[in-house]
Amino acid sequence: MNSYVELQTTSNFSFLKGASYPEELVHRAVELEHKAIAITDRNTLAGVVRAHLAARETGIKIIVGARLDFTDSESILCLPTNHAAYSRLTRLITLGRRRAPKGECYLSIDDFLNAQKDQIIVILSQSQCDLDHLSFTLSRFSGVMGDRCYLSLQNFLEYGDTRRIALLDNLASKVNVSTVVTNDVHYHDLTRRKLQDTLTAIKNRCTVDNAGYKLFVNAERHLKSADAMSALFPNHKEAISRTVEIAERCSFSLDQLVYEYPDDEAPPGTTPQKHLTDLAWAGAQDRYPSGIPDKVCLQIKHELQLIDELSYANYFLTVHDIVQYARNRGILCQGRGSAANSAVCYCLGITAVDPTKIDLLFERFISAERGEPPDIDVDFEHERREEVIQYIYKKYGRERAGLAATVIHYRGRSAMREVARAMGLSRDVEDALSKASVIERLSKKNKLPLREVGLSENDPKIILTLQLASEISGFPRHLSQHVGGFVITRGRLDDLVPIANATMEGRTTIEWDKDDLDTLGFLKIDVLGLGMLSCIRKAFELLQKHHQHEVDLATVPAEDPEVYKMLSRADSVGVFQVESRAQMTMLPRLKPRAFYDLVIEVAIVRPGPIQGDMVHPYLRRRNGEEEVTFPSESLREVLGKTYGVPLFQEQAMKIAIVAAGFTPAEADGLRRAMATFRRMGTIQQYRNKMIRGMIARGYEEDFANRCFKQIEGFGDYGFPESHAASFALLVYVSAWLKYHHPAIFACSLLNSQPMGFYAPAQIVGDASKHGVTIYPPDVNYSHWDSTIEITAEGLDALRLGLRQIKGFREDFADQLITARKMGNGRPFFDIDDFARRSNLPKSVLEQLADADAFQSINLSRRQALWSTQRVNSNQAPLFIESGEGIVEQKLHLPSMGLGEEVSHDYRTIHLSLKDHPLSLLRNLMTSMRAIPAKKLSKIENGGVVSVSGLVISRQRPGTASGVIFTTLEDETGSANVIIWPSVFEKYRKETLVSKLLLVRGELQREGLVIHIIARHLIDMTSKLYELATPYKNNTQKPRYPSRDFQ
Amino acid sequence: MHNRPFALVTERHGQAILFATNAIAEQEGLNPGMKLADARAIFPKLTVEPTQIQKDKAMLEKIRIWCSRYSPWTSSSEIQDEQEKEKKDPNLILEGPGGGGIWIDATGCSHLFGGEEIMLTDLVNKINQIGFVSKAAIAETRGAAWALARYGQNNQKNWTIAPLGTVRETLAPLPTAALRLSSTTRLNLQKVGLHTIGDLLKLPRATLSARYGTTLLKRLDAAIGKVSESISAVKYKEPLYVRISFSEPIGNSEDFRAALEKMLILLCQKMESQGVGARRLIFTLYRVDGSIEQRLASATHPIRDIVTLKNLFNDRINDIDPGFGVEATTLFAERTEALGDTQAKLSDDRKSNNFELLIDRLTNRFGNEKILSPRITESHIPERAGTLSSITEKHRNADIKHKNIIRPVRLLYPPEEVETIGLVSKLLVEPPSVFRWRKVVHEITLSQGPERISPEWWRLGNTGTRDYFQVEDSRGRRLWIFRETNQGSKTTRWYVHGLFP
Repeated sequence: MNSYVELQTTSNFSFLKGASYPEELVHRAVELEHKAIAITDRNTLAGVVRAHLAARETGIKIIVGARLDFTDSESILCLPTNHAAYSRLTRLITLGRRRAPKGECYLSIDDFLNAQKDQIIVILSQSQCDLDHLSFTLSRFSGVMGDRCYLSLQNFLEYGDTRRIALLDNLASKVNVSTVVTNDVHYHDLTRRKLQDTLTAIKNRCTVDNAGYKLFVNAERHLKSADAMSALFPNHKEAISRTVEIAERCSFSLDQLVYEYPDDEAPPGTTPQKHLTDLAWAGAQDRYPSGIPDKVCLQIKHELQLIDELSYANYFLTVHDIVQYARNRGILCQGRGSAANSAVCYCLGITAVDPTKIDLLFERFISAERGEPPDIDVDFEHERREEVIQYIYKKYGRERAGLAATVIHYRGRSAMREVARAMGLSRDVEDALSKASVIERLSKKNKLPLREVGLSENDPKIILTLQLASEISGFPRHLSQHVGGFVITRGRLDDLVPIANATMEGRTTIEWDKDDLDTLGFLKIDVLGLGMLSCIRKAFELLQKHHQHEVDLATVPAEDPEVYKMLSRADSVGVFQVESRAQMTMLPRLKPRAFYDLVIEVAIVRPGPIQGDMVHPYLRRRNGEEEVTFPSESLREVLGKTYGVPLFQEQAMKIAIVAAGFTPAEADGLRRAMATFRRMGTIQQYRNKMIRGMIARGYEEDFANRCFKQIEGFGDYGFPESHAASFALLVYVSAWLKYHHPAIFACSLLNSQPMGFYAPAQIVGDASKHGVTIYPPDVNYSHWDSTIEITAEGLDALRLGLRQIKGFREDFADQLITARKMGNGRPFFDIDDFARRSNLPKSVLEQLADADAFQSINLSRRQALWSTQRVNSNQAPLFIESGEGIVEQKLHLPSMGLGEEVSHDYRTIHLSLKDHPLSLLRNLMTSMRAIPAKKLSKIENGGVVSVSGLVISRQRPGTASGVIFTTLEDETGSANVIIWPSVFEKYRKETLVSKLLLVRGELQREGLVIHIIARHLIDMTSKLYELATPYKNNTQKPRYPSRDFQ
Repeated sequence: MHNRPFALVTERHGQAILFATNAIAEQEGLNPGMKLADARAIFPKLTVEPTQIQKDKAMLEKIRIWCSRYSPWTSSSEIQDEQEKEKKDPNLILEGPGGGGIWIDATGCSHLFGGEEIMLTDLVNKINQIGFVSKAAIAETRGAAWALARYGQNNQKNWTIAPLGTVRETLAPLPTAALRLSSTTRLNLQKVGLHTIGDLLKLPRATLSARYGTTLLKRLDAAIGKVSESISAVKYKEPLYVRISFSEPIGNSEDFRAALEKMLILLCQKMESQGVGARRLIFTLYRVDGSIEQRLASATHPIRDIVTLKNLFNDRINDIDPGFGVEATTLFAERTEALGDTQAKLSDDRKSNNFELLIDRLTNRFGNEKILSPRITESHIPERAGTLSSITEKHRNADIKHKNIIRPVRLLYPPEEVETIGLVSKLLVEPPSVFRWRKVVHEITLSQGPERISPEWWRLGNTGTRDYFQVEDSRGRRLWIFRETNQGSKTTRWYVHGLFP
């Protein structure tokens, strides 16, 4: 009986070359009864973990290897025979990748020969190769490697293959190198030829029809059976059986990789566990100066014991070190994730959520049973996260730390576009095909809406395009860097996995993504950026500076009822997480009264609970409108805290375990199957298992379905309680700042932009509504950042910074402020003085004048502009010195109306302190029957009203099936408008381009929450332009009759 | 296209934007300058075409030439495309569609048409009849006419006339944009509240030049007639056309040749003065009875050499039928291309381009489409791998490398099916041992293969997978045969596709 092992495979992790997933290659090899299969992608190991995982389920042996393409020679397959050789290979690829730009790998034969020990290589010959050169290469490799060096024989039934095989065979015996058969597999099954040709065309940016000789002649590069391979090489039986020999000699498996936590932290003479214990108790003393509560004491002991059992001490110490670094540099940070909200982490300062306030069972997150590493993500101030990242690189070195990769996949639209281009379809057809509706239905295998977008259902080219696009979607397209997942190792990381350069300078990434790391049990620490932390740190600093009030995340006065009252009013502009529209409508319904309510608030407005239809039941039960029952007694423990309604990811998983009889590992597999795109067919299995399991245990089918739906929703945006708890603290702290120090809070928000949901105009407007005095940007008072000034009454006032001025640069602000300081506090008294002292370019002076920043020297915007426009050239030693000093008569420029002022303010600083455009248009709006937003609360439910306002947001959430949410703002407040798809179709233009909108529709009220369901929309944008240019005859457009085409 | 939204699209910074829109599109809220993606979001069924600025320019030029019926002094103002805008000094850019227009210096011309009003009405009507909406103005300065045509209050007839001596007053209410100012300057003026030309006229001149440079004042002065601005009219280009009339009709080919040579001498002088050479010549003979006879000659490259050009006609002069005699001949260089001056070499060495001349002579004699040249096409399918196309056509795949493989000298098209005799292995890929082709039985003695070629799946009606063999029969004939396996019908057939020597 013949046997054969394929040693040369190119999976789709050789981007745009291979046309099958590594898993598909493995499954096909199993079907063909091969004993093993090598995965040899081009200069990469990116696909091997997936193959490894697929093999784990089937028992086939995976030979981990790579095809190495050299800059100076024929390519080879490199197959490490043992762990040490594998590490040499990963280091070799690291070397080639680190010296090349992203996506490339530069290696020479010499590089390889330094790493050749215990590698088996197969030298690949080109179909039209120079035999002399090949002979030279062969002897060069075989001279060093002896019998670990092979020459490949390939028969693709192409022109001259038979002859070539004979020549190569001859050559091999002459230089005493054995031959081995390979089939350069590019796809697992020959039906993928079309896809492979398409990928080739995409890679070469041409159509398949123009790709010509770049395409393979035939479809022979698929995985073949041993018999088929033998038939191709009737005279080379030994070269076939050598594939099996080689497979046997390669004894390395990814299972041999052992991940070890870094052990840098424990000082000599102590163990990590001891060190951690010391740190934890010392931290506990600081956290509870008046004595550690017994409950906490017990908890710490318990956790430390568990950590000891599982030897996680080094992990906690590593996170602690990173957090400590940030703390010393004054970078605010906060941990979250399964292990983060433990008492130990609270004592170590990793989190500020007091474990006495929230009862999260530690075991729930690190369990001996699953053997999974604990999970801690740490959020840092977004503006300073890079410092932390560079610290990690510096501390552990590039060879011990790297960012995880993220595999970017082809998705519906990108797949459709690229395939359409490769098929040579016109741009218009491409546009039509890549419409969301086509793609969505394609993925659901529904009947295609081709007619609707004006395409024929019978056009074979279009059918082909759709088929190929659906095949290609899900294919990896390139590797990108994970948002912040670091892998740090005790030994060298590049012994485990190749490290490559990222696009971003100063970053290096490994070749595996977080699923791969999970598979192999590697630790990842997520170092993430969070804008709100920047904002809170700035607010703390201002508090210290202006009020000598020192607080941090843990010491902000807790459980302030006024803060909760404010949130219950949905008065939450700027507050972390709960400022979005959806959250604002939830707040008055949920009426948070205590910290745990905020945890729920954060988690409930998410795709999971919404898709699982859990929100309304929860609200009803919480408000006592529905009896709190539990589907079963065993679920009481799981769902007790949330009135029997599952809201958190942990609960959904736990239901699978408790109610459907999943093992914890299965539950985790289920969650991961959801998160990973298109894991072939496994979701349906899990679904059946779960629902059957639950029904078998006596649950209602409806409840089972909803639970599963919810897990489905969690897939992409899983939101566990442990994360929600950390976020909830930031919600509380930011709300506390907003309530007690609105000026400082607004100031910090402005200085941390861009972040959050609202633009500066809304933040400033909101602050002003809360009684804060706002001062405009001014050359005599403003800094780059916004600042706090104290009013005559001793209150905080907000002075807008120069950063609010559109297009203004920080270095010019510095120059201006230096000039101001040099004058010993003497204010600038006119433009000449300002220009001379600041020495700023004319364009910058104009920018300041245009932004009306000369108000303190009594110059109107126009006067200031008129003066600055005169400043000569780019640099400004001014008129007086330059001899041009004819003193101009003060000119009477046409004065600006309020409307003009306001619209120029909007143009230059995106907001106006002088008035709101809508109050200037109020008469007009009233004549059109639009009422101020403030009065909406007086209208009864179901009444038809008109409102108008500036369009400040437009959203089309994925969970809302085409419904558009728009927020309008007028001088009295804002109005939430809902536009249904049918109305949208009628008013596309109005919905999409209006800056000022008038909406007529039905008012809907739920508690405090008011929506207008739009029926008619009128675009009023032109009225804004009229405000800006009251001069009637000045249309900027030439007055043509509109041109027409014949 | 009138009744649905339509737009021309161009690219700016790599993004597709609308360049111009029709009236219906504008009603839908689509405006020039908008991103195509945004426009499609608003109106998904928007029809678009790429902007062809060169064609627009050519059309404007044609209209300008047509306008010279009103006055010999005409010129067109530019239409700028995106690339040109980027290259140009930003201070000189005219925004919006105000670029395309025509100036006519009508001084002393209008009375020929019955007065200014009648002339303008006629002009606007005629242009409307060709299918363009137009507006016109007469003023005493070029700048004022430009401004009024675009920003003036037009009467019903789409034209304006500024009475003599009123230019200041007429212009005063117009926006500053009417002065042909850059968008930067216009924005700066607007910011300080100067919206109209009148606002500017009120200000001390020094304050303006100190802020906006001299361009603004120049434009202002030109518009109100303080300085004169003349039209640099486009020079009329002499057509490359010569004609000879004969006092006595001529009839024999010697005379025709002499006439042709004489005309060529004149024509080549003209072409030299314009720096061009002929790609296509039309030689027309006018018979006394009013009928004409024409000979066309074309060249693959521009030529200005009398002998060479004459040779292009050489073979086709003899067969001219003179009828009752030819009274006049003309020669017209219909297509020309730039050709620099060349100095004649001392030695009369023309051999170097003999091949090109041969091709020119052959194609002139037999026609372009008759002289073919084989070209490589990149396709694995043998019958598509090569094509014949006209030799004068420039081939875009000129640099394709041929695959280093041997193919039969003669390829049969279409491949001819053969009848296999005896058993043919269905499992193994082997050629039949005996087959009948063209009624002759071939016994295979030697074979080499298979070479497997898969079909081009993206083409319609494609074939099956082919396995090619090079075979030799008992009489030493070498054939290229293949087996075609059709996946759909599961049939296999054998064909002969070529012959080896």
